[in-house]
Amino acid sequence: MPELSVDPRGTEVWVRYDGEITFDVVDELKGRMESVFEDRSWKNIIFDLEPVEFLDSSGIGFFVILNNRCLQSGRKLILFRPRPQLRKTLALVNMLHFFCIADDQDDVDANLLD
Amino acid sequence: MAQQDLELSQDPIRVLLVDPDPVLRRLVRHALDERFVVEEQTDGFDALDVYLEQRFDVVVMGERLGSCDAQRVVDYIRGQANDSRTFLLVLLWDLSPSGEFALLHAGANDCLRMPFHREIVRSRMEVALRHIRMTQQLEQAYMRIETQMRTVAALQKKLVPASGLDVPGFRVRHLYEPSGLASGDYYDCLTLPSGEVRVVVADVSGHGARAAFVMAMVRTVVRAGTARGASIERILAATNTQLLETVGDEPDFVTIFLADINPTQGQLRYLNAGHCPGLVRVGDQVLHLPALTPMLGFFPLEFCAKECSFPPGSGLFLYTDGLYEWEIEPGQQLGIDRFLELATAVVQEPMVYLDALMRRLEETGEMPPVFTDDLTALWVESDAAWQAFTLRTMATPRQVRELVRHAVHGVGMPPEMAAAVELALVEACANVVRHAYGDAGGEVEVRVAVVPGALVRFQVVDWGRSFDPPERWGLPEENVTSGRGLFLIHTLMDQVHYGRLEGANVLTLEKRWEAVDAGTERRPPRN
Repeated sequence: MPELSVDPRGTEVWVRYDGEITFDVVDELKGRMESVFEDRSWKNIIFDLEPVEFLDSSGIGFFVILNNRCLQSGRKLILFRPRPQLRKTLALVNMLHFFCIADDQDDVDANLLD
Repeated sequence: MAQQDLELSQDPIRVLLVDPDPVLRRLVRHALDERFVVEEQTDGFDALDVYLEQRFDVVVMGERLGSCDAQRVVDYIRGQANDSRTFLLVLLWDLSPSGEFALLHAGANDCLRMPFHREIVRSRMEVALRHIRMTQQLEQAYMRIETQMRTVAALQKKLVPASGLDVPGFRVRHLYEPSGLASGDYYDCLTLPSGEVRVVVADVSGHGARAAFVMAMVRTVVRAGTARGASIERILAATNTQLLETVGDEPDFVTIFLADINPTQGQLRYLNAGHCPGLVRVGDQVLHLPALTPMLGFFPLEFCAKECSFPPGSGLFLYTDGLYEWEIEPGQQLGIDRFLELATAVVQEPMVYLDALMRRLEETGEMPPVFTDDLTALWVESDAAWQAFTLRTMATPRQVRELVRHAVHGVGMPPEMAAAVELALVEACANVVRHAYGDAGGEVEVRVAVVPGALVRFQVVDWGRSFDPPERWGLPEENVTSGRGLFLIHTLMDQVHYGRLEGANVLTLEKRWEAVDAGTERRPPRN
């Protein structure tokens, strides 16, 4: 499985994953994200999707889990720069507006202010 | 039909009274009451002019009518005017019995010899009145029957495929010309969940509403059986049972040719019950597929399908006997043998057109064919570009994901279509990994069939627990973490079908080349 990189920046933590987020990797990703959630020092997760080329319903479920956990703990999840194909997949299941999506740092800042 | 159902006209009876003698005309006129409106003419030709301009129920005429006589008027009305409806009464003075016979033979309804009593004229006009009323009743009854037949015909038209049969991966041409309003011919071309194409041509004995009724029954059994996944043997057995139960003691019968074409295995399975031979073109060879059993509807039958090779590019030609049961010259029919010679030549053409067959038929006889039976013909040609391959692996997440990647990239689709298809296939295979085997593990197979530029079909096969597909496949609430896979599969693919076949779960996904739309947001019902 490709590497999941975790980059804390102040009160945000930037997570970047270079690969597909599909049924064959989501269980491992969930496990890897546990340690991120254990760290109480950050307030928001920015998940960088720029390198992600493919997302299936299991991948969508993975982000719903992350989002639910963030909400439960008063945090926020932002999906950063999803590719057009990922946007289409999210749109197909009417989830494009469910997630906070940012295309650049200004978007991120604006989302965090909401 | 009850007489009270008919609405008789209450309009007065219009009488054209023709004779040069005013005394005779007065005598007749006085014999008629207010139910009759009389127009008088003195000359036969003038009377015909008036007859052509207006509509009359009765023409009462003398023997000699100035410039012409009664015979000429009767001849004209029954002959040139082709009017069999108007009641013609001729008043005779000194005409010989042979002249009277000639008038009656030409179409006069009645002759009355003079001198006559007024009451006799009146009673003869009562006869005319009854005749007219009866004609009106017959016309109305016929119109009602014709209306009913048109309703039957309009409904029946919906029972055969509309023009332009579109079967992906196949070239289908058809000809369907009922001889009357309603027909006993039936043809159909159905795509099966397995990817096979089911082809049927049937011919019910006789014509009209009765044949149309039996045809509708046959069509229902074929369609319902196909929807339930029945084999061609079971469908013919069920059709025969239905016919025996409903019209078994009647003279009705059905001939039928039913075939399944598997384009990727290059195989055709067929049954021919009393029907004319089907023609199969394989390469430059043409095979005849004759009847394997007698016709349906007379006695119980057992059916055992035959198989023949049908590689990509092959074609199947089916038809009904109306195409060869017509007279090429008086007393001599074209016949099946000569028809098969013509049809064989036509299906050997690189591009088969049914109108080319009809042109050849027109050139065969001394005069253009006069078809008296229903005409049906069907040409089904498998695309020469059909390709197929199968991939198989253990149903583990990594291996299955890799298999899907190979299956999709092995087809060579446009990028957007490939992305949509890959997502649907990932979802289908993920379900196998999660639900089919449990801890025991097992294999998953993906069968790929493709006509580049036209169609791709994937079949995801596993040998694990059977799957009970939900009737609805809407989306869950947004914060629910699962349950979107089936929605994606159904949304991204044009055809989705689940079936259990010989112990295996088979999920068939099909997409046409041109129908690529992975980016439109849908608004489905929520579960």
